[in-house]
Amino acid sequence: MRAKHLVMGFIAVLLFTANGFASDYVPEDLKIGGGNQSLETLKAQFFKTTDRDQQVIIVKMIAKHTSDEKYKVLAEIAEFDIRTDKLGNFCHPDAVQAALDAMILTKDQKYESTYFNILNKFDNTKVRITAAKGLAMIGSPNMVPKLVNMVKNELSYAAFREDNQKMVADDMVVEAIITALGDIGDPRAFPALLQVVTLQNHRFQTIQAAWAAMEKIQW
Amino acid sequence: MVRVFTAVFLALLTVSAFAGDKLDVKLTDAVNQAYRTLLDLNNPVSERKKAVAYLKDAYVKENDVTVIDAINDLLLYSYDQSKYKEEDNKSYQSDMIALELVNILQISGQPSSFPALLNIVVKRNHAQATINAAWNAIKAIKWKDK
Repeated sequence: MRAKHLVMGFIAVLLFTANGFASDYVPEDLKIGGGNQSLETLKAQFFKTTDRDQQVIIVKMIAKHTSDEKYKVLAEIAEFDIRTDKLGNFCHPDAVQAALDAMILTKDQKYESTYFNILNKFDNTKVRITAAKGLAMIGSPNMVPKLVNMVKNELSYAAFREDNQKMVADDMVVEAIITALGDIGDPRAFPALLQVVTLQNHRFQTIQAAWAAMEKIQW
Repeated sequence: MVRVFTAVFLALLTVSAFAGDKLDVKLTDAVNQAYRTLLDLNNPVSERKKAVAYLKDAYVKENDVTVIDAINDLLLYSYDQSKYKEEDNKSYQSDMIALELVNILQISGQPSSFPALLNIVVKRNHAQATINAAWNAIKAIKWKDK
């Protein structure tokens, strides 16, 4: 009897979520027109709240705007905390993540410095990994020296330990950067990749990613 | 704590942009009367329902566009119940009035309703039926560039 109730409860929760009652639900088929005016309304509403759900809903709505100007607004939101670090953490990581998810699909090179800044300075691993994916999707070699430096120096631990949360989180970022370097295929990435596979002070997945990236280098 | 200060700081920055949002439209006498009735959430529900019905007629039959400004104002200020609870019958009944007002906005499809509808779907200080209606109303907006 108890198990039956549990199963019914679980199904009810599933249905509840599937029916659009999720706390950050935005309809799939939503389209917002109205040009800059509605975009400014959305932006103003975003900067009125620190609530996670409200921020995510607004970012998802901006992503469904019909104007291409929306990407500027999304970039502004994604980079806001980095540009205004004195103000503290205003944008919720999930909102930044939602902004990046929409932005990276454009593969627009003009946002590569935005992605790099987030990758370099943001304090959320998932967001940083998405930023690295954005750079991979653009495929431009402009950021290769900076990415190489991150792998070789900034995110390299001589005494790497898998039981250290910070080291593991950083190493997941390194793995994403290495994957991006492989997708870009620039030979300047080789020394960094070589260091990863020889020193082996990384997770197994990162070392595997480095081998895979080496194969993709366009000599 | 820092997040709260940040929010306050940014809210102050945006306050000037929204200061002009208060109702600044000349309403016809009858619309104004309906607006006044709806403005006070302590007015009996039956009276407020009549006022909503009047607003709907004024928009649908007489095409009085000031109705939309009145509804936008009501939804943005009076019917944005920050302490809304479904268990509280009084606030629930007021929210059912809000639902009817949203339905009028859906009929109108006016882009000027976007901020009021956005406020409902984002803040979610409403019954789920009202939030769903607001989403439908947003989808029904006849954007000029669409």
